[in-house]
Amino acid sequence: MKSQRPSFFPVAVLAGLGLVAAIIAVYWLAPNRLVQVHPSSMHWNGADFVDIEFEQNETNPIVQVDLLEKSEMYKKNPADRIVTRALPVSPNTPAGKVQFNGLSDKGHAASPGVYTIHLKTAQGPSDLKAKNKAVETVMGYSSKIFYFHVGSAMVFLICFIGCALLSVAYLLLRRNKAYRMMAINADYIAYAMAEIGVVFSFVVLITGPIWAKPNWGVFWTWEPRLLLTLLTSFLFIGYLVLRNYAGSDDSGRRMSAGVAVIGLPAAYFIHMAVELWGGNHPKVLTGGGLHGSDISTTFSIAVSAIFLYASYLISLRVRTHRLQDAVEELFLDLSELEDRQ
Amino acid sequence: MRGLQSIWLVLKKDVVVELRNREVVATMVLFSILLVVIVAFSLSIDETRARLVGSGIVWIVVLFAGTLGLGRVFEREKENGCLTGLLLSPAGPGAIFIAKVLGLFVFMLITEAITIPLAFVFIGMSIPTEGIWILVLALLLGTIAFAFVGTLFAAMFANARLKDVLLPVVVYPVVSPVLIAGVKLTEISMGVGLESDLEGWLRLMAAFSVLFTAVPTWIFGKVMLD
Repeated sequence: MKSQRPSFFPVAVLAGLGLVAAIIAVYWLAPNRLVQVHPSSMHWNGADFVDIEFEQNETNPIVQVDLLEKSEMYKKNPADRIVTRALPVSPNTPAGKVQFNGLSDKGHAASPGVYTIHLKTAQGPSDLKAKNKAVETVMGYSSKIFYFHVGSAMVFLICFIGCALLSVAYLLLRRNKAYRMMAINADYIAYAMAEIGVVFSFVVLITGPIWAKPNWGVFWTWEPRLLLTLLTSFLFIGYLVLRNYAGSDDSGRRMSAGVAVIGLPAAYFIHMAVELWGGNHPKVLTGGGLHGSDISTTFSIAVSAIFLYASYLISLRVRTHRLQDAVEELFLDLSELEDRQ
Repeated sequence: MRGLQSIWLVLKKDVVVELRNREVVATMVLFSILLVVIVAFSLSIDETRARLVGSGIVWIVVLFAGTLGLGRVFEREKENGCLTGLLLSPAGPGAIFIAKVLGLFVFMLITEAITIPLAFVFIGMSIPTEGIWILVLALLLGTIAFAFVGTLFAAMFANARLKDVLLPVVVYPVVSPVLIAGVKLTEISMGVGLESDLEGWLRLMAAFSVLFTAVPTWIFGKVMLD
């Protein structure tokens, strides 16, 4: 009996060591100050005022500074950019300087985040870039939470997608006698992935606000990725609740698989809708923010440790569910035997 | 052809039952009007605020009234194993599903046609005549998407304990893109939002509606049959 059960002990040790290594790396190796190199943007953290400085061009002086919100979204077509604030500059001063007070042109409070700065001369856009001190002073120690935050977010997304795909496989294969066992295994893994996905979505939703408070000035903002994480984790929680109440017989499996299958395209649409709605999430990975070997080393150690740990947890949960079902079946057999006597 | 006939028969049955006792639509309309009143009170609404939050109120009403309707879609089918009987009938699960969706869609449309003009009057919102078609289009697309997603989950949860809690927990996240797009489109139709975003939101809404008519119809058969 003992030999049939796979032992996860080595994986557990490896995952534990990995997590310790990740914590050490984040503490010692990762830089204490993360400099975001983004020459034509500023990171406004919700403070009252931010100074924006730039070189003044003598032959073609700059007369206006445009602050553009939702910079990522309107990158493709510069003509579509929304000007949050157009700040006039006196062309006579040799060094240009304007102050941003966190209000949009309509007088609403602008949301904290990354703003693109555009300098304009009387003839049109200027080639000059603004130099802004705010860019370099934003991320202090708080940036270190990023190594766990991003890794957990990756695990969460992979669990979600994996759960949906395995559920599709279950629904397609379950009636086929030859693949019946395979389908049930897929469903066990999908269930475990949903559980671990919810756990890691909590990690993401807790570490995110801890980072956001010092950097954005608020714990929570109605921002695309936050919304996507929150809504998809609700879907997952729905999956788990359904699974708990419907039980692990065939109908319970089918229903929860249905939720997961609907969830994947739904998550895609939530993503699209909230992106269109507007956003300012720091795009560290896709925006080329991983500079320096220290950062990328720490990042890869942390992400591999989290992945290892998550896969250990998933395999543990799969085994637990299997054993639960086996125990239930044994109970049924037992009561049948008792009935016969 | 046969499929269409089965859809028509099931739909007719639902509509006739509804015409005899007027349970679902009456409760939905009453609930919606109450909701408008409650929201108007709790936001201490006035004319400037109505312009800002009015579109949200419209969609809260659509969503909540729809949820109320969802709870009833398979209520009558629960007794005496009627749902199993329907699914075993030669009509096929797809036809049953579409008929149920259409039933909910019709009830929701009637509710909206009564409630939303009333909400506009109560809250004191105004809509320019050229904006009306955007509002109607948004409501049609949003309602059809909600009906498809909602009916699928209503069927799945028909026999679950805690059905009333589970249904919103799962349905609202899934339809949240429709809600966001709907609110934005309504804002545009009322002349509050950005006109240039109109095409993007309409495209999102249409894509959602198309995909979420196909996927639930496919899943329904897979999930409901043994």
